[in-house]
Amino acid sequence: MADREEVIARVERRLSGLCERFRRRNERRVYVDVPPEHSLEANRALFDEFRARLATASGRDTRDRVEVLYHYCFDEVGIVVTLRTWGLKPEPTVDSVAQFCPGANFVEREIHDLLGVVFRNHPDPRRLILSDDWPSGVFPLRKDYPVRGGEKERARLVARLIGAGEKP
Amino acid sequence: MGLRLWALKKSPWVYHVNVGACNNCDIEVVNCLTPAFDVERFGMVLVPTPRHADALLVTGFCSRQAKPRLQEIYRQTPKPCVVFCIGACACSMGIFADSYHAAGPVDSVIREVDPDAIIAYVPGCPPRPQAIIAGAVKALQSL
Repeated sequence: MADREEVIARVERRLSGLCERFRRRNERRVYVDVPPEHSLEANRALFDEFRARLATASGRDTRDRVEVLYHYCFDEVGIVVTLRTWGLKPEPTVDSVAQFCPGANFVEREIHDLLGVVFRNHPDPRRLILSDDWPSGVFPLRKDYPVRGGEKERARLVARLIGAGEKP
Repeated sequence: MGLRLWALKKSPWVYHVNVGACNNCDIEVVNCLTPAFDVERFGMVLVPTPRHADALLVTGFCSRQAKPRLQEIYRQTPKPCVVFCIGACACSMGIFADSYHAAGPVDSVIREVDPDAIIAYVPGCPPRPQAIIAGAVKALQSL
């Protein structure tokens, strides 16, 4: 679709000075790696200038840093652009998108609960989904969170999940 | 049989507690009450407060947040009462057994409050309404 190519080219031009890497994974999927110092501007560009819809955000722990991924939908042309930014451990900090996009409020609070990302300038950074008696500073979806049963149990689970013979 | 047990078996009123279920078991509980299975013909009525209840229908694996609430609800229920663990999660925590946020299973949470609690188990994911009704019949017969 010509339309689609045009939109992706415009996004690439706009983000070219801000991103570290711009990857077209397939026809409808674009991944943009934006260093944390530019993430606020890049998110604002997609949300305010391109009027993209923030579908959701996700987080992942890659051992030395925690990544936050914002997934933007361009519904008219059917593409999803993922902005990937990150914060360094031990206290990963990322600029909050919720300060101008209310839809990001809850999902950023959830990422803070589970992965310990601090969202700078978040309008309402209270605990969202963990129980009231959960100890602060413990993040259950971090890689270093102990699995019940210890390292042996974790190795067994991983072996089962990836299947025998296919060690990463 | 004491008067209170006789009254309990005659027309057990139930209170439905969700302590972290995915809603499937809750749908099956509602299915029991609606006309297809219609347990109201046996006198089982859903009541809006545990203080009026003879039985608790508990669904879910019992999360950390829900545990003190479930215990408080059990304390508020007039005794004797029957606790029904509906579904695999309530019976044994199911796939959430090693989860970081689990405080269950339901029977051990209830036994912390009352070691002599009457607890019935209806396994299944979710249990069919027939299974829930069969569990209720068996639990009341065994009293």
